[in-house]
Amino acid sequence: MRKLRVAVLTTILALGVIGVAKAQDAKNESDAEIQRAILAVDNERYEAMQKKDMAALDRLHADGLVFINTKGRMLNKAEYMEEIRSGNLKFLTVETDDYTFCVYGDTVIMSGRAKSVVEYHGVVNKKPRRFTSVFIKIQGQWRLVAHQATLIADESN
Amino acid sequence: MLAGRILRMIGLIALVCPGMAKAQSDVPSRAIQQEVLKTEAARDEAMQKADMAVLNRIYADNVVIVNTRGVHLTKAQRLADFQSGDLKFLSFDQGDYSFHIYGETVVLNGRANSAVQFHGKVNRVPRKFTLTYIKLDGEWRLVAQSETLIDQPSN
Repeated sequence: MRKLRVAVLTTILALGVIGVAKAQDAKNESDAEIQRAILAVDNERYEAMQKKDMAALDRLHADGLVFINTKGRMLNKAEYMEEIRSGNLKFLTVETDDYTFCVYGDTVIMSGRAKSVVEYHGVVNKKPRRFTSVFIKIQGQWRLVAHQATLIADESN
Repeated sequence: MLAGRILRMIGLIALVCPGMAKAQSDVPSRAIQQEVLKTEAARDEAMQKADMAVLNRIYADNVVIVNTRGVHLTKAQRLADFQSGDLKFLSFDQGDYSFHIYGETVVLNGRANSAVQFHGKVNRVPRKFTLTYIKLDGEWRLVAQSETLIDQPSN
């Protein structure tokens, strides 16, 4: 009887160890999946901005969002959403590339280059810029918590 | 007897682990802010003194840096700028901090008015920055840094 109990417990422990090892494998494999998920969320965000889909924007941006635009102006979530809702901020085209991702568990740093044409308070900006976005998974949803954009300086300047 | 001991051990581990996780998440945000500010103060001092050991410890290996010219730099490139003297702080003035804490990720925003010499050119234009710190192996490390000049005349 005692031998049987030990055997059962040993089996349970062994299965537990295998389970943990598989979970770690899955975690290792998941960085590419996380990158795809972040890109999908970011695409959804741009689509929502173009359509002024405020419900989607509310879901995709964390309540504590900090957004710093190319003029060095810092906006919170309410201010940022109001710029979109009012039409003060419009994406006439969306073009982003040259991505870098760094995954730290439920926090992802995404950096890239944007060549989107943006109209901000009536002024059209076509200048390329570098951006850094910080996404965090909050209650099962990837949300943008911070974004900063910087114009790429003309090399001759 | 042996099975009973093993079961008790498993039970103990199950009780202790969630307790540890809870204790970590209950760290008051004020304490986290102070820890991050302390790390940031150490980084500021290290940048002025070109203290490579401290900078190497604080910058995460995969840190993403975007400077005020919109150039993406790696850790190696940033540290080389300090080591060579291509990047120098002529004066240091930074503040107006705001914090957002998400567990062990902290987003720190602020304003810098420091006079910075980069490759011989002095820049005194105030800038806004976003620093993202993450606790890795028990230490706060800088994983992302972005800077944007305020009211750029070219915009």
